[in-house]
Amino acid sequence: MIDENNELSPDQAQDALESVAKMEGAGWRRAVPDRWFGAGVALLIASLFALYALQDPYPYIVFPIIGLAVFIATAREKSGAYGREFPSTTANVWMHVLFAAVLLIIFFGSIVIRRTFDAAWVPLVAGLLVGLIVFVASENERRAYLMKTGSGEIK
Amino acid sequence: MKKARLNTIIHAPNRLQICAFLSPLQEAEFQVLRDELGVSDSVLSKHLKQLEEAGYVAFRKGAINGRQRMWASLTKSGRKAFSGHVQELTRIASTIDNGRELRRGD
Repeated sequence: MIDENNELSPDQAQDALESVAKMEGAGWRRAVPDRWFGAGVALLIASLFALYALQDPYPYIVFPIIGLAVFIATAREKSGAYGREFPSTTANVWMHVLFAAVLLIIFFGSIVIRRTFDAAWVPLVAGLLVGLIVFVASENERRAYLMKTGSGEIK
Repeated sequence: MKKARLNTIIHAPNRLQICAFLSPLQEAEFQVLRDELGVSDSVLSKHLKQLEEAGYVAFRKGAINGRQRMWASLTKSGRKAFSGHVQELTRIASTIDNGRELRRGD
Protein backbone atom coordinates (compact mmCIF):
# COMPACT_ATOMS: atom_id res chain seq x y z
CA MET A 1 0.00 0.00 0.00
CA ILE A 2 1.04 3.59 -0.54
CA ASP A 3 1.32 5.57 2.70
CA GLU A 4 0.12 9.16 3.29
CA ASN A 5 3.32 10.50 1.76
CA ASN A 6 2.80 8.44 -1.38
CA GLU A 7 5.75 6.25 -0.44
CA LEU A 8 6.28 2.59 -1.05
CA SER A 9 9.07 0.30 0.11
CA PRO A 10 11.34 -1.26 -2.53
CA ASP A 11 10.08 -4.73 -1.57
CA GLN A 12 6.44 -3.66 -2.05
CA ALA A 13 7.36 -2.12 -5.41
CA GLN A 14 9.06 -5.38 -6.40
CA ASP A 15 5.94 -7.37 -5.43
CA ALA A 16 3.76 -5.00 -7.47
CA LEU A 17 6.09 -5.40 -10.48
CA GLU A 18 5.91 -9.18 -10.20
CA SER A 19 2.11 -8.97 -10.16
CA VAL A 20 2.23 -6.73 -13.26
CA ALA A 21 4.50 -9.19 -15.11
CA LYS A 22 2.22 -12.10 -14.22
CA MET A 23 -0.91 -10.34 -15.49
CA GLU A 24 0.79 -9.07 -18.65
CA GLY A 25 1.81 -12.68 -19.36
CA ALA A 26 -1.82 -13.74 -18.84
CA GLY A 27 -2.90 -11.02 -21.30
CA TRP A 28 -0.42 -12.20 -23.93
CA ARG A 29 -1.56 -15.81 -23.44
CA ARG A 30 -5.15 -14.77 -24.13
CA ALA A 31 -4.03 -12.90 -27.26
CA VAL A 32 -2.31 -15.89 -28.89
CA PRO A 33 -4.33 -16.62 -32.04
CA ASP A 34 -5.32 -20.26 -32.58
CA ARG A 35 -3.65 -22.19 -35.37
CA TRP A 36 -7.05 -22.73 -37.04
CA PHE A 37 -7.46 -18.96 -37.20
CA GLY A 38 -4.28 -18.57 -39.28
CA ALA A 39 -5.30 -21.53 -41.42
CA GLY A 40 -8.78 -20.04 -42.01
CA VAL A 41 -7.41 -16.64 -43.02
CA ALA A 42 -4.84 -18.32 -45.30
CA LEU A 43 -7.55 -20.42 -46.97
CA LEU A 44 -9.84 -17.44 -47.59
CA ILE A 45 -7.03 -15.29 -49.03
CA ALA A 46 -5.84 -18.23 -51.15
CA SER A 47 -9.37 -18.68 -52.54
CA LEU A 48 -9.49 -14.98 -53.46
CA PHE A 49 -6.34 -15.40 -55.56
CA ALA A 50 -7.40 -18.76 -57.01
CA LEU A 51 -10.77 -17.38 -58.20
CA TYR A 52 -8.91 -15.59 -60.99
CA ALA A 53 -8.53 -18.99 -62.64
CA LEU A 54 -12.16 -18.50 -63.76
CA GLN A 55 -12.92 -16.69 -67.02
CA ASP A 56 -15.13 -14.21 -65.14
CA PRO A 57 -14.21 -14.18 -61.41
CA TYR A 58 -15.85 -10.83 -60.57
CA PRO A 59 -19.30 -12.09 -59.49
CA TYR A 60 -17.57 -14.38 -56.95
CA ILE A 61 -14.72 -12.34 -55.44
CA VAL A 62 -17.12 -10.73 -52.98
CA PHE A 63 -17.54 -14.08 -51.17
CA PRO A 64 -13.97 -14.53 -49.86
CA ILE A 65 -13.79 -10.79 -49.03
CA ILE A 66 -17.01 -10.85 -46.97
CA GLY A 67 -16.04 -14.28 -45.61
CA LEU A 68 -12.71 -12.90 -44.39
CA ALA A 69 -14.36 -9.94 -42.62
CA VAL A 70 -16.99 -12.17 -40.96
CA PHE A 71 -14.41 -14.82 -40.03
CA ILE A 72 -12.03 -12.32 -38.34
CA ALA A 73 -14.89 -10.52 -36.52
CA THR A 74 -16.41 -13.80 -35.28
CA ALA A 75 -13.06 -15.21 -34.13
CA ARG A 76 -12.33 -12.00 -32.20
CA GLU A 77 -15.74 -11.95 -30.53
CA LYS A 78 -15.44 -15.62 -29.52
CA SER A 79 -11.88 -15.32 -28.19
CA GLY A 80 -12.89 -12.95 -25.38
CA ALA A 81 -9.64 -10.98 -25.85
CA TYR A 82 -7.35 -10.06 -28.68
CA GLY A 83 -3.94 -8.50 -28.92
CA ARG A 84 -2.85 -5.09 -30.05
CA GLU A 85 -0.91 -4.61 -33.23
CA PHE A 86 2.81 -4.95 -32.64
CA PRO A 87 4.60 -1.62 -32.10
CA SER A 88 5.11 0.36 -35.29
CA THR A 89 8.89 0.23 -35.30
CA THR A 90 10.58 1.14 -38.59
CA ALA A 91 11.64 -2.49 -39.15
CA ASN A 92 8.10 -3.71 -38.47
CA VAL A 93 6.53 -1.17 -40.86
CA TRP A 94 9.00 -2.13 -43.61
CA MET A 95 8.30 -5.80 -43.05
CA HIS A 96 4.55 -5.20 -43.51
CA VAL A 97 5.13 -3.04 -46.61
CA LEU A 98 7.33 -5.77 -48.08
CA PHE A 99 4.73 -8.42 -47.25
CA ALA A 100 1.95 -6.39 -48.95
CA ALA A 101 4.20 -5.74 -51.97
CA VAL A 102 4.94 -9.46 -52.40
CA LEU A 103 1.21 -10.30 -52.24
CA LEU A 104 0.35 -7.56 -54.77
CA ILE A 105 3.11 -8.70 -57.16
CA ILE A 106 1.84 -12.29 -56.99
CA PHE A 107 -1.78 -11.11 -57.38
CA PHE A 108 -1.34 -8.86 -60.42
CA GLY A 109 1.44 -11.04 -61.89
CA SER A 110 -0.81 -14.10 -61.87
CA ILE A 111 -3.68 -12.15 -63.50
CA VAL A 112 -1.42 -10.79 -66.26
CA ILE A 113 0.08 -14.24 -66.98
CA ARG A 114 -3.36 -15.86 -66.90
CA ARG A 115 -4.74 -13.36 -69.45
CA THR A 116 -1.65 -13.20 -71.68
CA PHE A 117 -1.09 -16.95 -71.98
CA ASP A 118 -4.60 -18.13 -71.09
CA ALA A 119 -2.99 -20.23 -68.33
CA ALA A 120 -5.83 -20.94 -65.87
CA TRP A 121 -3.50 -22.90 -63.57
CA VAL A 122 -1.39 -19.82 -62.73
CA PRO A 123 -3.92 -18.21 -60.30
CA LEU A 124 -4.38 -21.64 -58.67
CA VAL A 125 -0.63 -21.90 -58.03
CA ALA A 126 -0.59 -18.25 -56.89
CA GLY A 127 -3.44 -19.01 -54.47
CA LEU A 128 -1.56 -22.00 -53.08
CA LEU A 129 1.64 -19.96 -52.72
CA VAL A 130 -0.12 -17.04 -51.03
CA GLY A 131 -2.03 -19.39 -48.72
CA LEU A 132 1.29 -20.90 -47.62
CA ILE A 133 2.89 -17.46 -47.14
CA VAL A 134 -0.06 -16.22 -45.03
CA PHE A 135 -0.10 -19.40 -42.95
CA VAL A 136 3.66 -19.19 -42.27
CA ALA A 137 3.26 -15.50 -41.36
CA SER A 138 0.42 -16.33 -38.96
CA GLU A 139 2.57 -19.05 -37.34
CA ASN A 140 5.37 -16.50 -36.88
CA GLU A 141 2.89 -14.13 -35.26
CA ARG A 142 1.74 -16.90 -32.88
CA ARG A 143 5.37 -17.59 -32.02
CA ALA A 144 5.94 -13.89 -31.30
CA TYR A 145 2.93 -13.83 -28.96
CA LEU A 146 4.04 -17.01 -27.21
CA MET A 147 7.51 -15.56 -26.66
CA LYS A 148 5.79 -12.62 -24.93
CA THR A 149 4.02 -14.98 -22.54
CA GLY A 150 7.41 -16.32 -21.56
CA SER A 151 6.45 -19.91 -22.31
CA GLY A 152 7.90 -20.13 -25.82
CA GLU A 153 5.73 -23.20 -26.24
CA ILE A 154 3.83 -23.84 -29.47
CA LYS A 155 0.46 -25.51 -28.96
CA MET B 1 15.47 10.78 -1.59
CA LYS B 2 13.25 11.37 -4.62
CA LYS B 3 9.55 11.42 -3.74
CA ALA B 4 7.49 8.69 -5.40
CA ARG B 5 5.08 9.72 -8.17
CA LEU B 6 2.80 6.71 -7.96
CA ASN B 7 -0.63 6.83 -9.50
CA THR B 8 -3.04 6.18 -6.62
CA ILE B 9 -5.90 5.19 -8.96
CA ILE B 10 -3.84 2.51 -10.68
CA HIS B 11 -1.87 1.33 -7.67
CA ALA B 12 -4.72 -0.55 -5.89
CA PRO B 13 -3.84 -4.27 -6.47
CA ASN B 14 -6.96 -5.16 -8.48
CA ARG B 15 -6.78 -2.05 -10.64
CA LEU B 16 -3.06 -2.58 -11.23
CA GLN B 17 -3.84 -6.14 -12.36
CA ILE B 18 -6.66 -4.93 -14.64
CA CYS B 19 -4.32 -2.42 -16.31
CA ALA B 20 -1.50 -5.01 -16.58
CA PHE B 21 -3.84 -7.57 -18.16
CA LEU B 22 -5.29 -5.06 -20.64
CA SER B 23 -1.92 -3.52 -21.57
CA PRO B 24 -0.95 -6.07 -24.27
CA LEU B 25 -4.54 -6.34 -25.49
CA GLN B 26 -6.71 -4.25 -27.73
CA GLU B 27 -9.85 -5.36 -25.88
CA ALA B 28 -10.89 -7.99 -23.35
CA GLU B 29 -14.33 -9.21 -22.46
CA PHE B 30 -15.67 -8.60 -18.95
CA GLN B 31 -15.94 -12.33 -18.11
CA VAL B 32 -12.39 -13.02 -19.27
CA LEU B 33 -11.11 -10.20 -17.09
CA ARG B 34 -13.14 -11.47 -14.12
CA ASP B 35 -11.80 -15.03 -14.52
CA GLU B 36 -8.19 -13.87 -14.83
CA LEU B 37 -8.45 -11.69 -11.74
CA GLY B 38 -10.45 -14.23 -9.76
CA VAL B 39 -12.90 -11.64 -8.42
CA SER B 40 -16.68 -11.32 -8.42
CA ASP B 41 -18.66 -9.36 -11.02
CA SER B 42 -19.44 -6.60 -8.53
CA VAL B 43 -15.81 -6.16 -7.43
CA LEU B 44 -14.64 -6.01 -11.03
CA SER B 45 -17.42 -3.55 -11.95
CA LYS B 46 -16.45 -1.28 -9.07
CA HIS B 47 -12.78 -1.16 -10.08
CA LEU B 48 -13.56 -0.75 -13.78
CA LYS B 49 -15.90 2.13 -12.96
CA GLN B 50 -13.12 3.89 -11.05
CA LEU B 51 -10.75 3.42 -13.97
CA GLU B 52 -13.42 4.63 -16.38
CA GLU B 53 -14.06 7.75 -14.29
CA ALA B 54 -10.34 8.50 -14.42
CA GLY B 55 -10.49 8.14 -18.22
CA TYR B 56 -8.17 5.12 -18.19
CA VAL B 57 -10.61 2.48 -19.43
CA ALA B 58 -13.26 2.54 -22.16
CA PHE B 59 -16.11 0.11 -22.80
CA ARG B 60 -17.85 -1.32 -25.83
CA LYS B 61 -20.97 -3.41 -25.84
CA GLY B 62 -21.38 -6.26 -28.27
CA ALA B 63 -23.69 -9.20 -28.74
CA ILE B 64 -22.83 -12.73 -29.74
CA ASN B 65 -25.45 -15.48 -30.10
CA GLY B 66 -27.99 -12.98 -28.75
CA ARG B 67 -26.02 -12.51 -25.51
CA GLN B 68 -24.87 -9.05 -24.45
CA ARG B 69 -21.16 -8.84 -23.71
CA MET B 70 -19.08 -5.94 -22.52
CA TRP B 71 -15.54 -5.32 -23.72
CA ALA B 72 -12.98 -3.19 -21.87
CA SER B 73 -9.86 -1.55 -23.22
CA LEU B 74 -7.18 0.80 -21.94
CA THR B 75 -7.45 4.30 -23.35
CA LYS B 76 -4.43 6.25 -24.57
CA SER B 77 -4.23 8.14 -21.27
CA GLY B 78 -4.71 4.84 -19.41
CA ARG B 79 -1.73 3.33 -21.21
CA LYS B 80 0.35 6.42 -20.48
CA ALA B 81 -0.62 6.42 -16.79
CA PHE B 82 0.05 2.69 -16.46
CA SER B 83 3.42 3.00 -18.17
CA GLY B 84 4.39 5.91 -15.87
CA HIS B 85 3.28 3.95 -12.82
CA VAL B 86 5.34 0.90 -13.83
CA GLN B 87 8.37 3.10 -14.45
CA GLU B 88 8.02 4.55 -10.97
CA LEU B 89 7.66 1.08 -9.42
CA THR B 90 10.79 -0.01 -11.30
CA ARG B 91 12.68 3.01 -9.97
CA ILE B 92 11.62 2.29 -6.38
CA ALA B 93 12.38 -1.44 -6.70
CA SER B 94 15.84 -0.67 -8.10
CA THR B 95 16.72 0.99 -4.80
CA ILE B 96 16.81 -2.50 -3.21
CA ASP B 97 19.89 -3.36 -5.27
CA ASN B 98 21.39 0.10 -4.83
CA GLY B 99 20.99 -0.18 -1.04
CA ARG B 100 22.65 -3.60 -1.05
CA GLU B 101 25.55 -2.22 -3.12
CA LEU B 102 26.02 0.70 -0.70
CA ARG B 103 25.98 -1.61 2.35
CA ARG B 104 28.55 -3.87 0.67
CA GLY B 105 30.74 -0.76 0.06
CA ASP B 106 30.71 0.09 3.81
